[in-house]
Amino acid sequence: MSTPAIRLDSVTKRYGDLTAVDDLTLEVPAGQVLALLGPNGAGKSTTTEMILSITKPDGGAVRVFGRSPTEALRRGDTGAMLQNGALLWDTKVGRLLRGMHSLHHHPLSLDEVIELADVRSFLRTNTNKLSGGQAQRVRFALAIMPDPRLLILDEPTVGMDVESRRRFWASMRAFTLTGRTVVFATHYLDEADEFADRIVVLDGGRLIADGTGAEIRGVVGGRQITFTGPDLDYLTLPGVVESTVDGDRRVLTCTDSDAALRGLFDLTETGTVRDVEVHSPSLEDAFLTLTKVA
Amino acid sequence: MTTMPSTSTGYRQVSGLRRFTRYYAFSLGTVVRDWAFLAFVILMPVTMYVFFTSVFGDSADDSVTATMMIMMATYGGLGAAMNAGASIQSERSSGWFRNLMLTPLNPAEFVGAKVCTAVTVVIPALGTVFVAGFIQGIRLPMSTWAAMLALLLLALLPMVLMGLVIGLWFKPQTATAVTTLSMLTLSMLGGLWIPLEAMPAGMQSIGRLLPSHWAAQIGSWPLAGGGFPWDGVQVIAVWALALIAVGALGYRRAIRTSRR
Repeated sequence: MSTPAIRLDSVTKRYGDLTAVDDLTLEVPAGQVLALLGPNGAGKSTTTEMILSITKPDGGAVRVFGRSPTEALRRGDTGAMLQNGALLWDTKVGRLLRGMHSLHHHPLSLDEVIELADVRSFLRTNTNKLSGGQAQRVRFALAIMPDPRLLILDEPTVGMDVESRRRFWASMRAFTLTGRTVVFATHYLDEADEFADRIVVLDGGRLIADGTGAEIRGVVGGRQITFTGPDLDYLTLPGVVESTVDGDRRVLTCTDSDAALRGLFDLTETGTVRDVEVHSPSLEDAFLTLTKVA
Repeated sequence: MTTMPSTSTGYRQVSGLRRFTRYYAFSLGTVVRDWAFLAFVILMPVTMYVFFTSVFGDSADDSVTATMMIMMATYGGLGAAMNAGASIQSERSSGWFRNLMLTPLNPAEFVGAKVCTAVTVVIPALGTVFVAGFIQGIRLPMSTWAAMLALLLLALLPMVLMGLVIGLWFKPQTATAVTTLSMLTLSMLGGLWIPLEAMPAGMQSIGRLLPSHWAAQIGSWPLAGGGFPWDGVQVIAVWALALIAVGALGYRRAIRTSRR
């Protein structure tokens, strides 16, 4: 098996009385796009900072491509976009990018960086005159510049409007097509669901769920089928675990909605079951359930 | 935006020396673009020199005018050095530190580049005073000019470090005030405005412990001749080492506090 991009072994980090990350074990295979999801204070930033060697863990071990985080960073294996990572004040964007470009071992060409991060239109603008979305694109440019195998993004779209957010994820897609590993922390559920191969939910510094968006949603009990129909014992249907009534509609909670649907139409006479809808619980439902339990 | 990133331009190991040189060039470029800062740092010493020489009149004695030139050059160089050192502020307070830590640039290369940037800024500050001295009629052998410049530059190194330390430890607003205050104290007590010999004995002994006093002594040695002020070298070395220690602590603290 190839070396994982990231390996966290029982990593713990405390700030005084607060345990920011609590015995976290996580392995991220190379090429995966992973979302770290969690409310504020869940330990997302601390986790990314330990992967970047900005913060040292109090216990446990962090390896990046089998090396120490510092070494991985120095080799240009890791690129990162930090939360509130400021830009050098009063400097033209182009000059800043050129200056940083000269420090890296194997950077992408400047032209590619500019193209991918979509910053060409404001290369001559001073860093203190950028809009929030533009500044964020410059940070993204700096993050991909080292041509990293692992890209860490801490809340990359916070403060962006809808249009900037769309553009940002389009840039990201283009960048990850070449099989890079991406870890992004977010508290936007839709972002995690849409862009990540795998979602790790953190709360209070602990891992409380780990899987695809669909798997995480499954935690709250699969799908629901609602319809109007006759008063029957629907619990006999395959895959149905709960049968309730909501107004004039019947609500079946299922572990296997496909089997339940087939059974439903077999059980009832044609035309008596109408307005059938199948819902999957939103990731938000799952998230709320998970963080409540934890 | 839709282009695919090709593989990188190939692995080119960038050595520490290269990175240092490149960040130095980048940092110097930043200073050069800040014309207000440059004008202040370069024009202040020469203005002070011209002002003082006209207040104290044309001394017939060439060596007095030349000594005054050295004092003013030291004073100006000290200001330039401290202000240039304190410009590390721009990297620290903005949180740019955090981004720099994500490049292969390591702390030694970064601080080294900042020190060299500050030293480079001091050269024109000193040079301008020397040119003004020349215009006022001071004639010295080329080797003496060169020796004075080189010695003064070296002797002012602790002042660059002091600027860095202030930049690392204080908030932007406070840093300017602390820089100015330290600069005035060091100049006054170090005998750059009034010769140390004209001060009370107690103040003289304080002055002899200050790097500013010895910077002027070392800088004027090619002119005054006599024994080389080795005492001064010791004082300056102790200051430099102490400031490096405080600076290292400040750097660690800056990294910690710029975290979020």
